[in-house]
Amino acid sequence: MKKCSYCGKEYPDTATVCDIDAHPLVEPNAPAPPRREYKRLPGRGMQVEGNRWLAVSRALCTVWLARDHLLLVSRTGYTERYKRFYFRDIQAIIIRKTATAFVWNIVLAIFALASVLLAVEVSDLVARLILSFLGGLFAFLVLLSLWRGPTCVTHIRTAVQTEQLAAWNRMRAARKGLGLIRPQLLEAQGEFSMPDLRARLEDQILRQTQPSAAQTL
Amino acid sequence: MESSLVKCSKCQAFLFPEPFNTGQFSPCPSCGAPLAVEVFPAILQTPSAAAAEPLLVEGQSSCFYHPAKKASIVCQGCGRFLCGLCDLELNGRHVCPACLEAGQKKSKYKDLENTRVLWDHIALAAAVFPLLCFWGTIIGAPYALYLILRYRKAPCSITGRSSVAFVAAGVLAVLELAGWVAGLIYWIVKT
Repeated sequence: MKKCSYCGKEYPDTATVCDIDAHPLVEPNAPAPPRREYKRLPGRGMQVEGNRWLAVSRALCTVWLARDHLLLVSRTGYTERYKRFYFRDIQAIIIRKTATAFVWNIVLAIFALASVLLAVEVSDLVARLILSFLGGLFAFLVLLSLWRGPTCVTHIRTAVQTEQLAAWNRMRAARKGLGLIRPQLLEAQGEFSMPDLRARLEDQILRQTQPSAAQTL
Repeated sequence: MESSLVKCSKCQAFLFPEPFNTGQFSPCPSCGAPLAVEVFPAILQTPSAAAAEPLLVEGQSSCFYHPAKKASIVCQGCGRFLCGLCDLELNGRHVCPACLEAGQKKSKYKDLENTRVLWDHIALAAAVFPLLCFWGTIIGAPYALYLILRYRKAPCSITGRSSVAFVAAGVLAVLELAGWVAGLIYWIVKT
């Protein structure tokens, strides 16, 4: 037996909302709902809008986990934009490993090494201090990047869109985040056996590619 | 509408499902980019459009927006009869398109909100940044107080952050104004 959270009217277990005031129904002995609706998932990243050379705007992206959806928050200045991906709609998550961190680590390591070598060479004390500070800063950035791990680009796919998750731009964050949402996704969509899913996907691919092949012939 | 074929996020080539859900990276057959793909059963579902049944008997309840279609549900916002086409489900509630639009404009449905202005952070910036230039606090502090009074009930971030920024902005703005008043009194007494 369930009760309306607003008026207290009793309903059978199959009902979800109150007929009178449309408030959600709750189990009488159910535990209290969590204080916060959203839980922050690991990772944060910048999403650049514009072209490759000129950024029109930069948004700081984070991913949040809700009861039935994933919330993508992009913060530009003092405005937050939200995109919701409901668990029942998520079809795939695609992670592509990139070499961005590797390239940056090499560049920063070269800068760090050059700064240290110059600091050893120069005789002026102020210049030596500045170069040592710069060398230390570059070395710290290399260590930070190494600690955060390799970079990646993550996309989330639904029936109508494929969206980049800029917050999951590191392998560690992407894997951890995926591990956290997987149980909720499977709960919303139902358990499945991978060989069966693979066979059905292959079947669909054949069906979708055959007409186009026939057209080209 | 996207097909059930998963594409490489770099070259957009179709991927075959052998390496899916293994947790391992495998190269894209076209560009060689290392990809790890996790697919879920929703990829096989084809979304079906809601169907509206035509009226069978004269005098049967019809949809408010489509008089020739049979009503299947009542809008929980306005009470109008709706057919399968007009019935929009949102968090277990059934509403008509007009109620949904009105609710979105009034921010009645939290799940439809796609943007929020962080007034608490603007107020904090108005109180903090003028500190870099001493004279800027004459304008910054009253403006921060105005924002606090004007938007104190406005919702903050949807993710549930507390309004600590509002409190900090208020304290800082009051201190800045108090500093100005004290300075002014000191200058009057001295001259």
